[in-house]
Amino acid sequence: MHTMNSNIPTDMELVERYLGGDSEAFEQILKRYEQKIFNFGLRMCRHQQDAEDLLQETFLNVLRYLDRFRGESAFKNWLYKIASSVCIKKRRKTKHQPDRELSWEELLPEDHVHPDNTPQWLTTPIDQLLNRELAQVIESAIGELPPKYRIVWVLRDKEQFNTQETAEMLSLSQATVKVRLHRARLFLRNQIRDHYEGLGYES
Amino acid sequence: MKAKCLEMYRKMSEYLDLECDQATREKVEAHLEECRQCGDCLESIRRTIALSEILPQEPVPEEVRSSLRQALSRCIEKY
Repeated sequence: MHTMNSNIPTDMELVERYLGGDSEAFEQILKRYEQKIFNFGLRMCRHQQDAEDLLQETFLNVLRYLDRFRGESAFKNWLYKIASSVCIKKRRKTKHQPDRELSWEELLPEDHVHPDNTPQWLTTPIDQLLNRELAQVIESAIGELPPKYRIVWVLRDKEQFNTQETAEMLSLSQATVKVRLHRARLFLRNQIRDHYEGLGYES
Repeated sequence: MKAKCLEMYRKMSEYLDLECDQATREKVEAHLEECRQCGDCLESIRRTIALSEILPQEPVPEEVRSSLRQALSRCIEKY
C-alpha cells in the first residue's frame, strides 16, 4: 500500500507517523476524512447536530483505538466501520420506529406500462441532469430510506466500498448487502422517475 | 409485468455491479436485445448509481472543525 513515486503519504504511513509521536500526522488524517465522515453522518442521521456528534465520536474512537489498528484492513474501512457502529449505537439509544422493510411489491416498476418512447431523462447526459432541484429530490429520498437500507446504500454507492467490504463492516452476509442495495437503488430510482415523469417533465 | 422481465428486474444491480455469473449475464443481455423497456429500466438504475456518486458534499462548518479538534486535544491530554 506504500506509494513509491508520490510525496502524498498513504493512510498507513500517517497512522505509523502518528503512533511514532508525530501529532501533525493525525491532523492530516482528519483533513483527509472529516468531510466524508461528516457527510456520512448527515445522510445517516439527517440532523446536523447528530452528524456533528457522530463525527466527534468517530474520531475520538479512532484516537482511542488507533494503537490496536494492525492494518488487516485498509484504514478507510476501519474508519467507516467505527463510524457505522457509532451510527447504529446512536440509533439504538434514541427512541425510533423499527426499521421497516422495503417490500419487493412496492418497488416493482411501472415503466412497463409506459408509452413506447424512452423517457427523456434516460437520454440526457448525466452531468446536465444533476441540478440543485434533482439533488434535493435524491437527498430527500435518501432520508426516506429505512436506515438499514440507507447505511448499505451510503457505503456502497456513495463511499464506493465493495459488497464484501460492506458486509464485513456491517457484519452482514454478502447476500443481504446485495438485496438491500438493490432495493435501496430501486427506491431512489422510483423517486427520481416520479420527479421527472410524474410532474409532466417528459414532454 | 412479464415473468421474464420481473426476473431481469431482480438481477439488474448484480448485473451492473458485475457480480452475476456468466450464464446470468448472457441471459440478461439476450433479454435486453429484445426488450426495450427492460433496457430503459436498467439505464434508469445505472443513472441512479451515477447520480448518487456525484451528489454534492456539504463542507464541515468551521466551528464544527474547531470543536472536533478541541475534543481530540482533551482526549490526548487524558491518555
